[in-house]
Amino acid sequence: MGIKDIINTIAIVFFTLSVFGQSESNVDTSKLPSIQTEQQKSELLIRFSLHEDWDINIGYEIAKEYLQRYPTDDNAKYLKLWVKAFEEGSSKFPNNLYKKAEYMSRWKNDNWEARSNFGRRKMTGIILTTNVLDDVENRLNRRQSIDTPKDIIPNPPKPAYLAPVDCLDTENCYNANAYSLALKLVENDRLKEIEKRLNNLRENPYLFGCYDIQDIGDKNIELRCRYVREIDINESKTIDETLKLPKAWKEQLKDQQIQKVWLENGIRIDLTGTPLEKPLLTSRPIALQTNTGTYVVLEIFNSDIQSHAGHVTSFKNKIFDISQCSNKEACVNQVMSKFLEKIEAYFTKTPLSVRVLNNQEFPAGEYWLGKERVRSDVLGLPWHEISRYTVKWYGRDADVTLFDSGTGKGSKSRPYIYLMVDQTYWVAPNVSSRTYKDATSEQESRYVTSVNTAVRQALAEACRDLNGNMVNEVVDNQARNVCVIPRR
Amino acid sequence: MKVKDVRNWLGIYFLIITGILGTYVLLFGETVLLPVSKQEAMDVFQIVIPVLIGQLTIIFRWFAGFEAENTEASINMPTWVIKGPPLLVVGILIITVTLMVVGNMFSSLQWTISPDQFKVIVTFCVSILNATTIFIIGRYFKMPQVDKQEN
Repeated sequence: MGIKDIINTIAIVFFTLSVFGQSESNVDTSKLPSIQTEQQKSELLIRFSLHEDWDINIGYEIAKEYLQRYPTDDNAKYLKLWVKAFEEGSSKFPNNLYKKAEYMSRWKNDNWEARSNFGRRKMTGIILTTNVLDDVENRLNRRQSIDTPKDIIPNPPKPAYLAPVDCLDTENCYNANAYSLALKLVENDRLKEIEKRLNNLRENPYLFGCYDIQDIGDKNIELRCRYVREIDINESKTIDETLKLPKAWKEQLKDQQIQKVWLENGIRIDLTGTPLEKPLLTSRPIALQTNTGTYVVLEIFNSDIQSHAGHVTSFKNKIFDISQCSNKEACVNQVMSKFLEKIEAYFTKTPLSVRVLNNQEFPAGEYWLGKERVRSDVLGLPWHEISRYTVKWYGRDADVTLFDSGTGKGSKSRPYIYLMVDQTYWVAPNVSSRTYKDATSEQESRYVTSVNTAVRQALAEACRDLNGNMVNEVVDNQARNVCVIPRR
Repeated sequence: MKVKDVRNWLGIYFLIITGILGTYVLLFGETVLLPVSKQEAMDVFQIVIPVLIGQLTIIFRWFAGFEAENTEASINMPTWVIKGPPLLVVGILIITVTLMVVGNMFSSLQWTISPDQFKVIVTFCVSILNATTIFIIGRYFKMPQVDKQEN
């Protein structure tokens, strides 16, 4: 279903509503409320199911609203259980969204039977339309669950793929295009109001609206925050290096020149609100200004489009071969404990000089290091940095595997271990600078070199201590060092 | 202090401070010697340089166009009125930059001067000059009134 079809659908909905409106006095309207009720029920159920594993705080608000409106409905039974579990989780972990989300995820797994009967036959044929500007403002004005640092100002991804922020972690968004983005021209009488609201968003460059999400690949809970950026296209060389527009927009805008775009972006954070990884690749457009007019964006979700697609995951950086070990779990424990010990040793040395973030609990298969507002030994004075290194390891059967078997993060039963190190750094020339900004590409390459060196040294030393054999494998014309662990 | 000395002293002062401050701010942003971003350095340049260049223009226009009639006469004001504010500004800037550089070297949030504070201090220095020395410049580098002659 393309944007055009969806716009047609909206047009039909609007048309239908207007027909109802006009003919209200001539027809029997006694059946209308029940139709509307069913529609509202379905909408609430869909919104709840979208937020069950993704921003549970919003899920809670929707569940409460449903229970208030339809307390005796079939679905109320499950929602009551869910709400009760949420409230229990909230009282157990009042200031820890991560723990609360983990609690709810466990609860859902334990209560799959109750869940299986929830919302049947009510979640089809529904189109949810969200005005993105309203939605962003709501998120901004809600009580913030995490107090984020006010000196970190990340840039948007470049190029930004225009889609819902968490599209790559939402099965029906990524695989099935259940979400579409439509442009709605702002009429002249509302132009000033919209411009004022967009200016207000620009005034708040910080991270906000932090939430939980279940990673689509490894099913771990992650915390993420949003941030808004105004992009001046005139400052870019070409629009393509800044934005990847939906095809339908190009058709709709034709010869209009895009001048400004307002984007809502997302980034993964740790428990202190400090970003852990680079910004998410997809940005949700809020509004768009061209040489002829201003548009606001509508996000449209079609509940009928379901994903049945599978895809593969691909990794290249194999570091350990434990296929000869008879007890894989014991072997992985031993190998990874040694390797992470060496990672810590080399990452805490100069030039990286970071420390393990022991005050935070890492998800399975992850190890976090970092430092805040201290001198950067990689760049030298006057530079200071806030940095995070997320060392992730994956137990896998091969470089390429079917996604259905997961990415293998933290898996202890597979023959090979792969590594990925996510790195983020914000730098400032003065320790007390008001803002720490993204490192430039030249600065970033110096960090990447230091990290690669530290990882290589840690692997070599761990392999030696484990009596392993370091071998060279060539993948896609690139050599990689793999430590083969002997039979044990 | 003679009138001639006042003019020479102020002329040399403004020449040196404009040259040194302008070069320092333009060249050393994002280095150990000036730990502020290039944009912040440019902001400081835009605050301070127009005022200093304005004074230099007045001074050099005077030296280029006129011969003083009585430069040996003594001035009727204390020396500190002439030299005090410009030296005070130099002192403030030296202390500020030293604190900023040394504090930043030791990553001391307590001691270092932040870029925002640096901008405020530079603005403060410009205000001191505006409120004091600029009147002295006006007096000793005043262009003589040329009577309008009717054709």
